[in-house]
Amino acid sequence: MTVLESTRRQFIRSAAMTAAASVLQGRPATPADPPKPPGGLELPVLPGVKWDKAPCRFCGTGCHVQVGVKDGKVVAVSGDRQAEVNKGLLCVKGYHVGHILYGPERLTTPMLRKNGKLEPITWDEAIEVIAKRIAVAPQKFAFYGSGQWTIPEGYAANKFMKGGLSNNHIDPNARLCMASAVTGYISTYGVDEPYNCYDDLDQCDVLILWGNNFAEMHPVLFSRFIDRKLKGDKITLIDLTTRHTRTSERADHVLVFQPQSDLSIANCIAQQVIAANAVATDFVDKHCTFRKPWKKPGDPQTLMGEPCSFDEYKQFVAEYTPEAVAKTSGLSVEQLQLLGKLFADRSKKIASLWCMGPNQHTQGTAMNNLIHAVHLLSGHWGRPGDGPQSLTGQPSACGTVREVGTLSHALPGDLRVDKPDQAAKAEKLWHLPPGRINPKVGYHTVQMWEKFCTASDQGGDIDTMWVQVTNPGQSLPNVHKLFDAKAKLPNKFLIVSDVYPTATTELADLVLPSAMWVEKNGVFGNSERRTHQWFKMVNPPGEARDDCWQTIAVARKLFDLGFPGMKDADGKFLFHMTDAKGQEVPVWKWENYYGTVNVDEKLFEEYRPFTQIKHKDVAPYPELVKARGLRWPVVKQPDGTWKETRYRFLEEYDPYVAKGKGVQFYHSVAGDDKAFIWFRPYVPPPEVPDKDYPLWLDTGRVLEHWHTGTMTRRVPQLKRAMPSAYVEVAREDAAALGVKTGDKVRLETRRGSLELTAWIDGRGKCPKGHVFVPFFDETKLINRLTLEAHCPFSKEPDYKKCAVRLVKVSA
Amino acid sequence: MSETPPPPDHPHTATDLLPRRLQRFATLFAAVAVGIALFGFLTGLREPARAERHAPPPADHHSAPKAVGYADLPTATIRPNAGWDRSLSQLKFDRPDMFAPVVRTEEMKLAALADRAKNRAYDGAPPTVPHPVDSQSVASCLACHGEGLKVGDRVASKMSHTMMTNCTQCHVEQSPVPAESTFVGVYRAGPGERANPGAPPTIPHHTWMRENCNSCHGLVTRPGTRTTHPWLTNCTQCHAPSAALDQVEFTGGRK
Repeated sequence: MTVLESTRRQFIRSAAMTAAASVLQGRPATPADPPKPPGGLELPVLPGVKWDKAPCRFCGTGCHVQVGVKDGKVVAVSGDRQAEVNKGLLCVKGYHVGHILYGPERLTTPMLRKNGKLEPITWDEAIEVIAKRIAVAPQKFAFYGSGQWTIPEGYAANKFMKGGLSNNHIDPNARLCMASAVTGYISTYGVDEPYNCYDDLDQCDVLILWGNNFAEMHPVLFSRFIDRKLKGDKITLIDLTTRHTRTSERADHVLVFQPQSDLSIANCIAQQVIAANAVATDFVDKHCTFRKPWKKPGDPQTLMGEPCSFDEYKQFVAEYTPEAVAKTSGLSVEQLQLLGKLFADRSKKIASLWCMGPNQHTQGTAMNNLIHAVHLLSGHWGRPGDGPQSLTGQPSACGTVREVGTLSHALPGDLRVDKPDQAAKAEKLWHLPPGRINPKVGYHTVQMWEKFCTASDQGGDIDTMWVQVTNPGQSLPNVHKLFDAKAKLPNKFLIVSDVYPTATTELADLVLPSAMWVEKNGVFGNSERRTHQWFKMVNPPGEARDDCWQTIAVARKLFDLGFPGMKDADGKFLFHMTDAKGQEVPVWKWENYYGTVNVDEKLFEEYRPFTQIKHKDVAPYPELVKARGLRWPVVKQPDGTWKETRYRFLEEYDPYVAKGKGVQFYHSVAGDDKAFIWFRPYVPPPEVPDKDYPLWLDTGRVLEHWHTGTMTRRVPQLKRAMPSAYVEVAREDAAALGVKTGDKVRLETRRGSLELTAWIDGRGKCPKGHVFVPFFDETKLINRLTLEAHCPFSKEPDYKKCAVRLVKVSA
Repeated sequence: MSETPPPPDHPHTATDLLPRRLQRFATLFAAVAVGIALFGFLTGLREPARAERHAPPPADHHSAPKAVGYADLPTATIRPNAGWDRSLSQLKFDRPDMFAPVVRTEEMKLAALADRAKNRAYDGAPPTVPHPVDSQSVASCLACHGEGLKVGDRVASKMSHTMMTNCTQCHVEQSPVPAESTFVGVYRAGPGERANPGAPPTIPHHTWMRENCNSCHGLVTRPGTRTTHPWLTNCTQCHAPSAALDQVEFTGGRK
């Protein structure tokens, strides 16, 4: 047998294996052509690389990376070993985060749509176009922002809108992802954001995931927990899920429940804790009161509800016995009892985590309330490792949206526009004339886009929309209605600041090229109250500029045009900044933006007093420079150092708890330092499978891609790992339809249809009657099919359940 | 009732059954029979003379059973590919001799680095997986990457870092779709510094997540990055790591 023959055979064999594997994977069978390193064998070397810290650009975990820069370009990334969050480890997205700056289609020049075509214009022209449109009708202008805004960016936009234009139509994409967690915290503890932190992952005995594919969505935190098994820790992972995922693969108990029955399951836990006489009376009597959502059953539920007695509460949950809930939830009596017994046992520390499952839910606030409730009721609250904590999906959903208050009702520091005393506080801190802030709550995300996509003469009273750092053309629910409809409305004007062409820039009238991540200074706030800062390390490409500069430049243009709102009480510009000598620096001119003042630091220090109002004191900017993020409240110690807080409301950790109190909910709704234990009943979902649309459609994410994929789909290693969207079909449903992996199927809902490749038992496994589609792929917009029905309090839509049918298109 | 005694001529043994005149040869018969059986048994145990072996049949699609759809799997008859046992010799595990002289040239080193760069975005990036990942279990990754193995010219590198259990968090497979980026990573960390010609070089890359030097420099790896002295196992005795690259300097904050 000759060498040649042997090679040929090996090739045939490996090709056959690849082909077989590809068939199994539903992928094409040609072998991958690996990327060639540039310069052939002449490889660049590591010396000369300068390293600096930055938080990762992607999710809400808040990992720190060390960024290697050489000759003005990012050339390498390393996990930051000093970062407490990730302890030197990253996920595959994080390791490739440097690539996001270098996609070949970076936007590098402002472009205005002329005769249907985007044509380059200068920045001066672009800024003038925006300012003039706003000056004509300031109340018909809306700003749609993001949990990826840095804190200074969001702060400037919020001040510009609410303090400058007296306009509250500013809302962020985070409305679509964590608004229910906010209303959940506020209606339970009286104040937003978790009391605990990721340290719980190192301490808990049991981790319960409520509808959260932790292994793929927060992989670094997942491995921080699951790798404890290697050290011999006796830990249990319970996966409450509607489909079998990578998380389920590693779980000790996989509890697959029917969509929406999570409400009943939580109530069933409460019922069992009471029945087992395991209510933590020592804790509950001192620190909690009970709450019902209405005066009497049948009335509409309210956000803050009504007081109720324990006996009433007991009666409300009494019907949620394991036997009753087993009939509707898809869980067995034994599975429900497993949860009930667990909560009834206080010797085990139980951590609960959740993210989009309970949040993107038409009963999102209720679900959040109920998770807190089962923990408070059973006393699984307040020990490190023993408590509920929500996660976020964006790097600064907490920092920029929740803390800076870039929501249509909010102001920085948890103040509200519709409370005159609170608005007055903001006016004072902003040094504005009294009454500047409009007391009417602005449009929330879904409303805002509805108004923008409705003709002006039919009540669509938003004419100009500015989108920064987000991609609503892909991420809004029911995009046909809430975004695509704009195409037919010529007098509506869409401004988009972004780094790449997206589904959103496709309909934009003005596109502004933005700087991103380490091309600018920034501050983010992660899911565990940690604020982290970074410095600009490389220049943005071409004419791309900071989003924050864009906002300030438009504000200044309006100031120059004589718009009164752009002046403070002394007639000074809203973003008046001075250098060390007290000289005003015209930061609205790009050449000064990275000059004698650090605009980020100026804005952050101006914002900092707001955070002290509700004891969420962020650290001074110079302290953040030194740290890998600090968890607020960060309080100055007698020796001059600054100390972060791992656990709020606990005397041992939180300096704002009064001495001797032990536990104190010092912002409680009722003003009695007590948290609410909520009853919220099961409420059916707005759309359920029927004979026309017989399956459940669930949407979500995958490990390799981040949200709408505008960044990660431009990273070769990530794109090749997960090239395109697919539909996960259950074996039984596939067999009934005669569909195999790799076949084309069409998904149809009442709102739209989409062709996708079927994948049976692929990345995840759907139970019979369910399909799953990831939303990262801009060439396959699943949100043309989803439902815009949302939680009545958080206004967050439910992307996780609607009715769909599958039609086989071709094999 | 008393027991009836057996008739005196009742045969008690097999020998008794033989005709009386052959009974005296019985021991001889038995010895011959046992001898033949023993010979046959031992002959059977012996490795047969090495006949000309059949070359494995070409792995064309005719020899493989037809793949069934997922939906049909539960009821399908699963059988191995025809002739699978005859292919085993090709899969022989291949471990180089620790004391064989290592020839390593600059070209080989650069070729090894270039090959290494094929599935890494930059030096220090987690390598992408050049084969399909079907199973998510740690055990399936460890089967090859736990100790590392070499079959022909295919190398499955030994895991360079301490055990972690969420492999696909960092290592993802690649499918052949076009993907462009202008990112240019540092593909090579080295070379290390030498105090003088012949002195051991310092370690030019971070050793965090690369605690196991053998993963890239051991016997089962690309020839161009292989150590010339695999029998010396206390690497950092001579090769100094960099505290700065390993991020172990205590700076109390930003650096």
